[in-house]
Amino acid sequence: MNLKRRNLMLGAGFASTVTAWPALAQDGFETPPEAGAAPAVPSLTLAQARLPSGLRLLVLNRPGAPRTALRLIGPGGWLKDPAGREGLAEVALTMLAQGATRGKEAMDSADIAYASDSLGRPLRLDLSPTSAELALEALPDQCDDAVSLLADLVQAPTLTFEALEHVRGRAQDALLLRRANAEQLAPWIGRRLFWGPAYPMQTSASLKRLRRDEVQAFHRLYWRPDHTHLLFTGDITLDAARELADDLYKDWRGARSTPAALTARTAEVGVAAASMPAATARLVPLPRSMACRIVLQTPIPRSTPTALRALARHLLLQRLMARLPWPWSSDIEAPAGVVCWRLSLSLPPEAVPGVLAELREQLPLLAAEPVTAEDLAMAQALALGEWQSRLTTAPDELLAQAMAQGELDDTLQWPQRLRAVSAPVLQLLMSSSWRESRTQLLLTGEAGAPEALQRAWPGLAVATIRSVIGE
Amino acid sequence: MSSPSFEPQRLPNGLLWVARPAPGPQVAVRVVYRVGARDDPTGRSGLTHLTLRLVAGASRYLEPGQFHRMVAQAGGTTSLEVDEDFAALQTVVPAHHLERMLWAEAERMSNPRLDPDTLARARLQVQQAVRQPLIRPYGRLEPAMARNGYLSHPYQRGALGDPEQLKDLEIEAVRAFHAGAFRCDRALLVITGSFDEAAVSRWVLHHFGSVRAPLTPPLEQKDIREPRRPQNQTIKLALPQAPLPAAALVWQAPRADDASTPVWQVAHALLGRGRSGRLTDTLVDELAVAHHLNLWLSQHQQAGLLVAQGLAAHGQTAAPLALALQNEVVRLADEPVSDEELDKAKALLKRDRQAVEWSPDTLARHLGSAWAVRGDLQAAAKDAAAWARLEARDVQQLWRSQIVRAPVLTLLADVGNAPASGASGVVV
Repeated sequence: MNLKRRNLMLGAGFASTVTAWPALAQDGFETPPEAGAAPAVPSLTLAQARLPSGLRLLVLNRPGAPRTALRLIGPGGWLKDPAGREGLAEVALTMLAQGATRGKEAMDSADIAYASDSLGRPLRLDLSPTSAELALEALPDQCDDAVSLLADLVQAPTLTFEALEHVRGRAQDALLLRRANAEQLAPWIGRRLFWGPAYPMQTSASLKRLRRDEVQAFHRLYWRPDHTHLLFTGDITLDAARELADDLYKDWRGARSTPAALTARTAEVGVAAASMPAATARLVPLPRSMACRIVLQTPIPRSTPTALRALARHLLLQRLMARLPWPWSSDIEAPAGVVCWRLSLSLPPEAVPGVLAELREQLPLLAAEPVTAEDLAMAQALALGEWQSRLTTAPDELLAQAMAQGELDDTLQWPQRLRAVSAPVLQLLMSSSWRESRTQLLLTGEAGAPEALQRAWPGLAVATIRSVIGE
Repeated sequence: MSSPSFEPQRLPNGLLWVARPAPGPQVAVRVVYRVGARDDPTGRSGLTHLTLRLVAGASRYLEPGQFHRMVAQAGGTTSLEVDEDFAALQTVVPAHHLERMLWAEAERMSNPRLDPDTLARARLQVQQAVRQPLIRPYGRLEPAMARNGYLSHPYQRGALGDPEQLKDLEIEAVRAFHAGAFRCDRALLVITGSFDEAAVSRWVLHHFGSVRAPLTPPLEQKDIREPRRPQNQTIKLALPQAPLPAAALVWQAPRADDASTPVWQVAHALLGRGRSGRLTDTLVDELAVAHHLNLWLSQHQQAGLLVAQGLAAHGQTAAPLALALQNEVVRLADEPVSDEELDKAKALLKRDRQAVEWSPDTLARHLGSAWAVRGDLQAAAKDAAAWARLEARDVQQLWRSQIVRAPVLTLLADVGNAPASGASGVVV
């Protein structure tokens, strides 16, 4: 190596009257070196088996991983909330950590918390629109304890009246917090605007209505071995996982009857049947809020392949950040029915009118720009990088999310799926989205005077929280 | 790959660098400057933040936005972090892009574009970053803890700064600050992930080795001693958006490199980690006076705080919650800690310590902070060794001397106009 190649151009900075270079510029380093050859990225292999009880076992073997993640996944997400009982799925899941029996011994919430914390990481309860999940993590020689604890929680929860009251009180407080926080509230209002009134939103009244027998029935209905997956990720084989699970889950039986009250009018049916959302623009003020959450939404067809959606999301985000350099976030939500592509940003109130005016003009143009080969390659690299990061840090979360959304095969074959997308197909999806006639705008929080906002985005109407969520 | 070197190596220009393997197909490149918000000149709070954004923004051979595009084309991510003690740039990319990223980071270190146009843009970014947390109902609580928790140390200004103090800042002042503080002889380059050690050594020497050693004197950094809190104090906060009352108790904690730090970490785990930490177990699950609790042990290079913060359950007010929190924290000094409870706390600590090494991203962050705040890349490993030796009596002895007998700051925020009883009447 020749260090002299980078000899400093002494005085170059001082000679310039336009720009001062604080550390003096160098020659020979004008362009970056070429990247090395990209290695082939293999797809994932997930070993699977079904136990006699019907429970499906999945194992992602990661040799050398110091800990094993375990996740029990059931279908009781919040779209299973019956009409008028919004919040039931969340309450039912939360109550699993409030008490259970092991043999003849009772475990209260403190015992459960203690047992999971002793494994090194607290029990996590994750609820999505389409799944309810319990997750633990353990050292290889503690996996039997983790499997056993998960079995107790779903097979023998106590679901007591006292636990219901405790969980209900906490859910009411969480509701208050959500309604005061524009960042938390905006996605929920956005879902109502997108999928209509069928989309379930907890209210104080719906939480008050929940009864213990409904929680018990909901639990029996959705935590059944034939509907449940037990996922292991770590240095463990399918045989070893089966050995751990066989004994503990062999006697688990599902409910024989299905309570009609819980299945007749679930939110899922209404959301799946929701019509294509119309363009709309709403401002939902939150008193004394210090900033505004901007949400933009557009529909994309449900038949759009998952990899294609991801590429479109990455590419538009890059274009948006280059044109309007604020800390944007973007997600795609596909619970049932039409798929929602969402962009979000928090801004100080005084910046909102200017950004809105730019957005209204630029967003359709950015989406309609031609997709070059370079654009496609960048989007593919970003989607692959995101997948690799999630595989490194939380593979169980990645797989569980894919399973909940019915996209497991896509996730396992992600590198190939990304490569299969062509630039014209990507362009077609991009250009058909974010047209003015298909874009929804939602402002939540403090955004300044409505008149200025309406000049920036004509048709913007002020709405109250009550008018959107009914309480 | 050979076994990693734990000690950083120094280039002739003064730059320190360290490379450590981490699982996964990606690499992280982190450049940490040992200058933080505490070094902002009086009346210019936020200057470190602003300068970091300028360094990240553009350079002689990287037009505005070009670095981000380069990272995106590689399929990576990039971020910046400003802390009270350090300022850092971090990028994660697939391993085969490592040399390009080293070129780009050397370029950003050597030739940042500090001119009036980029200054205006960076000012807006600082303003947005400062305002962003305020959208949350309790977004003012954390700054209030630092502002009142520290009695005189610059840590009381927080990390992000005050955009008002940067409004009339001239670019010359930024250049002077950059020359004194953002220097290769006050920086650490961290590379983590999947790489060939010999190639990395070659690339570092090539791209960073010729960054010129600074010609100007460095910014003077003072070791400021935070005085002891003389007495208990209660402050009433106004949080107009908050739907539930909140309370926070703030005790002084030692600087990060203090010998007692591992004991504080175990005490923190006993009280605040996991679902079974004593605070949550008693105040959320058993007494139901709190909706949510947090316990932070925030130790900086020169001083630290222990903060117990809670949101009251519906129907409760801030003052009783504060009292219950205080009782529970103090109780650790005397209520027996069983071996089982101690083992559980250590298991939680060990897992989080282990998890740091699972990805290039987290490992690079950890190493950068360990160097800038603790002055020792192996500080966490030493902590872990100390945890194994600790017994309950060590924790309780520390608690009796540092918490039970120490004055505490209490912050109370009730909902609406309800008075927070027992407050000294200072409204923040």
